[in-house]
Amino acid sequence: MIKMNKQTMVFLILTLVTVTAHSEDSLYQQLGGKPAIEKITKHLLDRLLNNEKINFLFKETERDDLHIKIVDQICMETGGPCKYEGLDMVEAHSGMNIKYSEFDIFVEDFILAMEDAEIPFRLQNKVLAIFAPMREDVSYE
Amino acid sequence: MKKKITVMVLGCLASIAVSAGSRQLGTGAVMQIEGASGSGIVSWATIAGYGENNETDVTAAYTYLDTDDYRFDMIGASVGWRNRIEVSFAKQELDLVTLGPVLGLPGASLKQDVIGAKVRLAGNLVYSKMPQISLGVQYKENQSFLIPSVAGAKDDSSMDYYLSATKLFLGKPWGFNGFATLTLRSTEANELGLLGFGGDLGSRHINAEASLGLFLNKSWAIGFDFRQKRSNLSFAGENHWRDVFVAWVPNRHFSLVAAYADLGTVATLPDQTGLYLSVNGSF
Repeated sequence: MIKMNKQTMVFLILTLVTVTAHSEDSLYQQLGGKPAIEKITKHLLDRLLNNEKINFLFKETERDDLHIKIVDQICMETGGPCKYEGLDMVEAHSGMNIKYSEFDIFVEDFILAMEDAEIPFRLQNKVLAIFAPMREDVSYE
Repeated sequence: MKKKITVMVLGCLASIAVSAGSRQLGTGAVMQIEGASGSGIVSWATIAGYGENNETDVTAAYTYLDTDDYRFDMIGASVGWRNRIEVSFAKQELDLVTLGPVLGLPGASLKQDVIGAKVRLAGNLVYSKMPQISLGVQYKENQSFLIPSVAGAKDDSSMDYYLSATKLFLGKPWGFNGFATLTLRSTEANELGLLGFGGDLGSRHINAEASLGLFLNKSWAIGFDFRQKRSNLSFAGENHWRDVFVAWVPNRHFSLVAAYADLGTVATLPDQTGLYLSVNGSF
């Protein structure tokens, strides 16, 4: 049996806690910060605005404005130093009658945009997990 | 004329193919051995195909399992309506490779038809916090009741009822997308019903089924299935079934499953293990 005194125990526990805390970088950092999010958003808008199945949903928005809002939102939701200042998701999409199938197409373009930006699969899924609950705010049955 | 018709048929098929549902890849699962959406041997709460609430998909599948002593195959088709209701039809056949000649019936096989229906009661596989929950029925009709009746089976047809919960976990564990299913099935079936229904030891039981797995990337998944089974026939005791599987889903129209299945003792022959292959098409 290895005998440990109280101080050694406390030291070990503290070390463990510190190591765990350090390995838990925010998702924002793991993605590659603002430049990576800018890249994802550029690819996302390239795809959405050229996707005939859903681009009509964006015909009344300015691309530059949409770009800033999406970057801010991804940045904030993944734990980055940004503040999304647009409408909340319910307000922003109210009256648009977005179908679940259209939401699905958006998600598919979002995944493809993350692939375009070379975000690894496992980080893609963590990002999707954050935004998935918004489905009910954006679309209707 | 013939050419014209061929072109027209191809055109129709292509347009159907283009209009497949919009749910994310893999969310229609695959056709299990009784025709329902699920994995190899387990019925899931998923609705077949990729349709959303304004879309309808058709799926067809062929499955083959070889344990040396037995050869099983299933051909099936299903319709997933608006991600709400699934209707399926499957034809199963079990070739008695070893048992046939022993019984003096070389070339004998056990056959069964299964008509299934499933309704999604609540939840969404991907997007809701709660799992997707569905209730299903499978009407099973044995098409070769002579051998089962001699073995002591009471009925040549019966109904299975099942309640299933399935959930996909985005980014869990370790950033992968995990999935899990728990199903409770009320059944009188002996070896799925291929050996008829009920017997000298009893009839209806509630059995548990479970699947657990992981999407390693967008198109590849691995996992395992477990299906509890109980014996109604003292002549042909049953074992629980299990398998480990790999699924390849390159797009919404095609998927392939390979599994290694362990069926234990089947109709007196022990250690039935073998390779399971299943191909699915969706439109």
